[in-house]
Amino acid sequence: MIFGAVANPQVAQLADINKREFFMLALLAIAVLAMGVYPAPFTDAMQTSVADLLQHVAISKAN
Amino acid sequence: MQSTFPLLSLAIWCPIVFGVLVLALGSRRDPALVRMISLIGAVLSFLVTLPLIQNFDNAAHGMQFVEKMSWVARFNINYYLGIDGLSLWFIPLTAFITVIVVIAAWEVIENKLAQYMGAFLILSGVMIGVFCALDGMLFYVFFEASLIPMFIIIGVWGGANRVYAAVKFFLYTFLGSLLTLVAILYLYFESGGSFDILTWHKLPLPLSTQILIFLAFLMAFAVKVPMWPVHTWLPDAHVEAPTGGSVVLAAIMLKLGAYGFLRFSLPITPDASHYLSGFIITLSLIAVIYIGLVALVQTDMKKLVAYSSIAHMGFVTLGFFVFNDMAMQGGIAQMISHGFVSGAMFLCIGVLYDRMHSRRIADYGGVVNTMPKFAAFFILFSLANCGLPATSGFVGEFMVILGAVQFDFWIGLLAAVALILGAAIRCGWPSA
Repeated sequence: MIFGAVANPQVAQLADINKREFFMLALLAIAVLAMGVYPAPFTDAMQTSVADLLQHVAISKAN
Repeated sequence: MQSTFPLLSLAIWCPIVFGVLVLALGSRRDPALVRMISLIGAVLSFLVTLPLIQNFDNAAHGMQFVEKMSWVARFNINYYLGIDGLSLWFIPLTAFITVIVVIAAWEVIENKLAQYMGAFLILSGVMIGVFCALDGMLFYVFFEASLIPMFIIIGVWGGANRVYAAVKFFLYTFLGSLLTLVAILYLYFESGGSFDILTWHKLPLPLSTQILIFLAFLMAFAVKVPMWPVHTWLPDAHVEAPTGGSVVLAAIMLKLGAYGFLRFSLPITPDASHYLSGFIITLSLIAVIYIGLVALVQTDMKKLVAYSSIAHMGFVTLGFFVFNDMAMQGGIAQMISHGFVSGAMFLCIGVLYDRMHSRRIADYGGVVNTMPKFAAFFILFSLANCGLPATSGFVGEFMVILGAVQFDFWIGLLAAVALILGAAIRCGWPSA
């Protein structure tokens, strides 16, 4: 997709990302990698609530 | 747990106040000042959400940081806020994405800058409100209010076909949520005049009524997620929206629908949820596999990411309706991860579009030669999007597939096949 030979003259003249663009992509890259390497803070927080919800859903409310 | 300091209100109203401030500044036409105030507002709004994570008690049952005030006493409508483990992470996520959007717009948006920044700040507060609301009417007000800034963002700063896309977006999501209003009003009368969502959770209802309420909620949430076959507004909206609009739409707005399943459909109508789970699982698998295939043949980069978003949200709804801990946690993890990854993908497309004014995948050939730093980020996010281990995308998809296999081997297998499709998309199989 972005690999291979240069597709058109426009691509040949492209300037790489500036500091601002680097910074915003880096913030997201850190978030993506942090969650991938150490997802515990995310999953720990939801554990109790998910278990409670499933327990609630398992009990019939129809009568 | 009654909190002494209204942290949730602060998280909702801080960005809105800054948004209004930026709008008020707009007439002075000083872009540097507008940018600075917007950035300060967005960063401050993000910082005030951090104490929520810090003070959240993982072991506690029920709602935390609860705030309750009478709003419209006559109809027993309350300003009632609270979060649990299902909603906690979406609040800092929303504020974080808003910071990114403000940075992304820095030099790119020249037309009506103050209004652009103002719309995103206000939208951020409104969406945080959706995740915090524990009063049915308050939820509905926030849910609908989030349409207005997004409608304006697509309609004013969008591409050539922006009006069509904005109207389609608005009509689809608005029509769906009208039926939800009917369900909310029905529950209000059935519960003896209460808009309290937690009271609705305990309200006994016959199965036939539950099915109708479930379907009414489904109309709103399925459009928002979006689930196949009511997904068609999303590719149009993404293609026409400005970069920031696409980022917020994919990263946060789609999660409002999925969150609705957790807060309304599942707990209020548990019997109907079980009864119709096969139906929802089928729709989810169609989204995961069929839409995954549709994504493969796209020539427009934004459409490709839009369709792959629909496929990823299919994993989320699949995870919710197989009814086990692993899959449901995976579904929520997938929502958070998709917030980061899809936001990043649309930012990458925005970076390319600003330079080339083209969204055609074929035009991007060889970018890696001229933009190596950009290419490194783009490849990282692409791999995260197809669920490479050690990226956030892996966590949710792995847990959902594991949970789905526990529920039914063949459903798990079908979902896993879709992962390979996702990888094929990223490696540029169709266009290579």
